[in-house]
Amino acid sequence: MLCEWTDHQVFGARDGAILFGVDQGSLFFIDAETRDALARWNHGPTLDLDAVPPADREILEGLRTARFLAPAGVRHRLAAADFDIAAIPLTTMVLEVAQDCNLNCTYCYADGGSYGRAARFLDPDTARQAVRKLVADSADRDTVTLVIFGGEPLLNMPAVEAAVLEARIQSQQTGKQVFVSLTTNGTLLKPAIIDFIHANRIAVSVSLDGPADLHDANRPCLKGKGSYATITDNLAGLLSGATAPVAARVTLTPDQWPRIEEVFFHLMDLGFHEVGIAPVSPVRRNLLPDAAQEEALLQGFSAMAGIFLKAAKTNRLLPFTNLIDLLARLHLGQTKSVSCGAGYGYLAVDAAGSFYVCHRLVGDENFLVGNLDDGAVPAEIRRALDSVTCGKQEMCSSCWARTLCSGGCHYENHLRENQLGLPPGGSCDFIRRWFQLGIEVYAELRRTGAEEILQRLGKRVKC
Amino acid sequence: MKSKYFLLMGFMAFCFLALVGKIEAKELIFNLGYGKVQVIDAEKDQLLPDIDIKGWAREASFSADKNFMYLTASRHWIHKIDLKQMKVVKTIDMHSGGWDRFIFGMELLADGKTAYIHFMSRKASKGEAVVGTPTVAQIDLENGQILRSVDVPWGVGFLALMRDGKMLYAVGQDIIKIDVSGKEMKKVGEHPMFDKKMNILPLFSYAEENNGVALLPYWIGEAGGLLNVDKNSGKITEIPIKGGMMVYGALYSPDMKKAYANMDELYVIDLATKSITNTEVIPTGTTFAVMTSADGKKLYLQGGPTITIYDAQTLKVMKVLDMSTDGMLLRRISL
Amino acid sequence: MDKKKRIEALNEKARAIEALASGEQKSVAALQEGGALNMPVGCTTIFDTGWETNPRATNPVGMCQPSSHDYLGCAGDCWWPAQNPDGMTNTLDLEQICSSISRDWRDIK
Repeated sequence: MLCEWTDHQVFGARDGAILFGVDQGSLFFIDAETRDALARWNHGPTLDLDAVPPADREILEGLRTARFLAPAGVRHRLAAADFDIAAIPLTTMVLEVAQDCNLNCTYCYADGGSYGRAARFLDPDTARQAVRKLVADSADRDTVTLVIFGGEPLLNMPAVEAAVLEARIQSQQTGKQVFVSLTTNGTLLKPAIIDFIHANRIAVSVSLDGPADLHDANRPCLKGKGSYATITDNLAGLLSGATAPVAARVTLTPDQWPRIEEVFFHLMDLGFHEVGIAPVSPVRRNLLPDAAQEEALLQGFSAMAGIFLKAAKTNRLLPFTNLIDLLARLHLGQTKSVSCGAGYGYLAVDAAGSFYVCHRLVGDENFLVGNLDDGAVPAEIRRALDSVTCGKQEMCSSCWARTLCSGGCHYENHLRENQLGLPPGGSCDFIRRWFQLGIEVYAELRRTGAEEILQRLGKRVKC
Repeated sequence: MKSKYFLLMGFMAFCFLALVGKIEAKELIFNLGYGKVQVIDAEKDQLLPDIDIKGWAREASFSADKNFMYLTASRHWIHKIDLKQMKVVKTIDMHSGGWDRFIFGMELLADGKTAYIHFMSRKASKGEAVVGTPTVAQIDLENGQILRSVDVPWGVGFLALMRDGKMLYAVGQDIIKIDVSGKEMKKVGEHPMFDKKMNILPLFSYAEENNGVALLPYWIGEAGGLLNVDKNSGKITEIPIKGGMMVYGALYSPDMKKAYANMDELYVIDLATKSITNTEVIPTGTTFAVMTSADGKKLYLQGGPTITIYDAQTLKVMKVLDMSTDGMLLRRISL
Repeated sequence: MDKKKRIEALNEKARAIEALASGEQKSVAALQEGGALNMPVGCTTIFDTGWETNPRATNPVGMCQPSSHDYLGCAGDCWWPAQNPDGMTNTLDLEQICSSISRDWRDIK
């Protein structure tokens, strides 16, 4: 029987190998014999199974059953997605209630909060209109998500309150659940605001980068003073009596990447429920990492992975967002045909009531796709997304991580390629190594029987 | 005047009786076709009105009292055809209870109330195909209910119920002997054929018109012959025919001294010498079925929409009947 | 069996693939019961090895002469070498399309 190998990737394991089926999103452990047989026969476009000697054939039959071999000529790659944007309901809206900020973070992608425009606030009526639009355009979805954003959203409490209350009204009227989350720099979390957050079960993401020295270097106030002290003063009130998760959102510059472990545990000690660490987006050329710094980042993540595995042995789920999100997807075998939901049910609204494909791209004319009055225009969304994704199919089609990455963050690609003039694919190596790390951690979890952890991971991803 | 009238009536009555006498000895040949069964008056070799049926006809079995013909169609319907009214009066469907069942082999029991059928079955369950085990079952002809059954190996195409009603042969790759006399159906033996590398075609056989014997063509390697399954005695006999022949089916002459077999050609086989004594190419093309007239003087060969009628002695074509349906099998009954 | 130990499903997708495969194996096993004759039900039911070769010297080798004589006979039971509609699964109203292929082929839509 004439067969073809389906796209797959082999990762080493101590007594065999891990096999990742690219189009299926499947993960298998194979023993050493199977791994060697795979290496022996994995040459050439087709394989005549009947011509394989019996011992090896039995092994290859097993791989065929696991869908790593398929009948030759039968198309077995995932077809490229061709979504009808107009048919996808709106499910997540990032509402930028304030295009202004009271901090002066060194790496801000929003030009100090204003996104390149004059500072402005979203008026409460528009905020209400936005929330109504979110619910109205959500078709038959039972839940929608409202992300209150900025600049610094707490600068515009009237709009925040208007949005949250409108969300409650809409929820009661339609029976839909409206999840509300808020991203804040944490400096304005006064008791009244904290009470409001608690009363309305708003999930909060606080931008806090780590120990005082590191954080203050990144996130000074407008006058130049550090913001760490103010934020940590407010934190206790936010955390005690929290009615929804409070997460720390960390941004680290390349020179800070060796301190990942330290940052993580510092924030855990402060009492955060979860910590997510993001390498900074290269809004300026000097924020681009060199090879050594990238290596340090991977080492840092690798160290976190080791700590995660250790915690898993005592049935503890280490709340490192980056890893948990990846593990959950690997657990389910989720494959992606688009890199993210931007434009596909996820839109950002700026303070003027205009739609952009995502919050990072607000203010860039190219990514303006409509407004609250007339709605988001599907053709404009398609145009905007194509402007960053076009021409990458060939490059991506030969990559084993294509169903996990599917092209990467539009904003990051736009930054690197269009603003910094870098050729596409600069992050690919890093991304692949990150996925590999996740796969190895997952395999280890599974093989050491961390069933409960895996079940909790499974619940995390709303599929 | 009145007396003349009565005389006339009497005369007419006499003639009528004479005619009725002839009709009583009616010989009919049925062409089992697609959406219809065509009926041939075998004495005049003329078409009588069609019997409309649902589906494509495959196997037939006559009730002992000759009042009905049970006809399988599309491998899952069983039509009860009233042979006086010449129409379907009842249909049962063996696709039931979630299962699709495909009938290959049917034998009526003498009381006409139940029948033995062999079927293969399948169903879909949760998006996967479930294949049932091939089964020989006794079914109630009123409602299609399965009364009892037994598993058989794959490959059965024909059932032969012995005259005493106690033994049923399921003819496939091997012949499975099933004891149906007790409460349960029991497989009690096997006449091996597959291991002898015997290759048999159990699809165009019928015993009722053939003195209770079913003839099935077979090949062993390059040699071929006819397998004789005798419903009277239960004996299974191989008749190797010199030279072999490529045929779908065969039939004895009424005196059982000769056999007629058919596919592209009509073969006349002398059973004393077990050799082909005459062949005739069938001008209208390949045929599926062969049938003799009850007296053995005519041969009917059916292929596509034509039935070619031969003089059995001279093998000359007497007549060609153009049918409105392609057919699968010819069956004969004398009413 | 041995295969099980060689290849082990790790994530949910892999488990789903394993479940699918074992389901397939079950159907295959059922078809293999009873010996060498594999008779898939649902598609081909007639597998009369040898008779389909019909080694006459003239064309069409293997099929009836003319081919139309084979057509409906092979269609109903889905005879394996014949490329025509199958009356068992996909063309259940075969007899309504036409009763005689050589007479009524023009009526086929």
